[in-house]
Amino acid sequence: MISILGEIESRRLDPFSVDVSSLLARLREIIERERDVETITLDAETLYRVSIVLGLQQRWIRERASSLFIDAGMIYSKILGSDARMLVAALLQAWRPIIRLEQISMDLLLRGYQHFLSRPTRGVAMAEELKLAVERPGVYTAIESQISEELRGLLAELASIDGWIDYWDFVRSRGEGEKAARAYLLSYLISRGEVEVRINTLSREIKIRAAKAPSEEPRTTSLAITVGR
Amino acid sequence: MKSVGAEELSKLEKKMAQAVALILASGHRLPGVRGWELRRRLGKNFPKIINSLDSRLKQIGLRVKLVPDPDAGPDDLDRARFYIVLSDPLTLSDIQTLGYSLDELAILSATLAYLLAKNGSASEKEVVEMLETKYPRWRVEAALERLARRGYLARTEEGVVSVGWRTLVEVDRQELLKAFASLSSNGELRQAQEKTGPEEGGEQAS
Repeated sequence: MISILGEIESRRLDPFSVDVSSLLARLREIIERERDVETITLDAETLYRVSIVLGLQQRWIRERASSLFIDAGMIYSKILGSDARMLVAALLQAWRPIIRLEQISMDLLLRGYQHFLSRPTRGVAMAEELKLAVERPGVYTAIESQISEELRGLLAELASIDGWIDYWDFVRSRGEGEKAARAYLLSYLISRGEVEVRINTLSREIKIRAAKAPSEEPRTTSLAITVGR
Repeated sequence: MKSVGAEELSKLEKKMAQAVALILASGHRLPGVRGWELRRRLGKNFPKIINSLDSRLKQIGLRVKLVPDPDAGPDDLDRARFYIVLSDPLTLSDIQTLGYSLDELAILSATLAYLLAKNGSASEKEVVEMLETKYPRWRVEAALERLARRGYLARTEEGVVSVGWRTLVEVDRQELLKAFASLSSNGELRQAQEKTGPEEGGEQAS
């Protein structure tokens, strides 16, 4: 009895799947027959779990009343008879998304800066290492020119394709090994307006093509793509 | 010199700005703030400030939503959580900006309606089988995983799926069930939505 009642509670099964009155009648029989401490302890445990199931039954009735007595079978049949747009339209009637800011605020920036200033200095060794790296401009120039060269190559490759191409086909065209690097470089070209992007949110298709001339318009849209998919 | 009324109004404006900052830009993992946090920053009259803020937000299509703590009474404002939500329904054309595909939202809609009709939870196997009537299993599982991560659904190790915290905040249970009940054979709901529905095709985002 204890395990059945426990299952109903933990697995949130239908609390009316158990007949409480017959369970209590059986419990009464046991209490009258067995009077040792161990049985009485188990009886108390059973009674406690029965009270929980009764509480669940009360909640179930209350929620069923508030759900207009629409049962799962009816919902199932509505789902079967509706297409995706109808299902979404039904959701939109009841959906009010939360509004939340996820950007860093000036207040948080100042708090972070104050915390940074309050940190004890960790000695001069690291500071000198940093200084050495900054004072070697050749390193940065070499990296910068290499990246510029790769960006030019990628743009030329895209420009050689006639019309729009699927984003994923393009970044994967040199194999999975180069996918992340190509996506990374491509993001620069997109930000500079040298590559145009067309997205269809409904079908999740992303198409790209080389722009005839870099766009002068300020970029107001961010596009986040998970490359590791 | 400012009149007393103007001073009070200016004080109220300042408090409302503080309340918006607290609710919208809270540093918690979850959105929204608890009542006690509002009380600490705004003072004991914070419910009045929240009411004024709610009236102001309604003018721009938003509202303050109070969700009582399930382990506390509905009158326990200190433990309740306060959110800012949209006050009007979205249209199909709006979903392009939400970051969900039409199929993911259809799966969310069907799952929530099914769970709510079963008082909030059902076995995951049962839910997946129901959704497989429309989508392949891999699509269903990927969508359920994402929806659980976003807080719309909660899954347990015992294989039970139930409505998540975000659903309790964002979705009006009765409205959803009513909308499903009105999905009649003549598709009235669809026709109403399609009047403002999306145009298929691309969106420029360079």
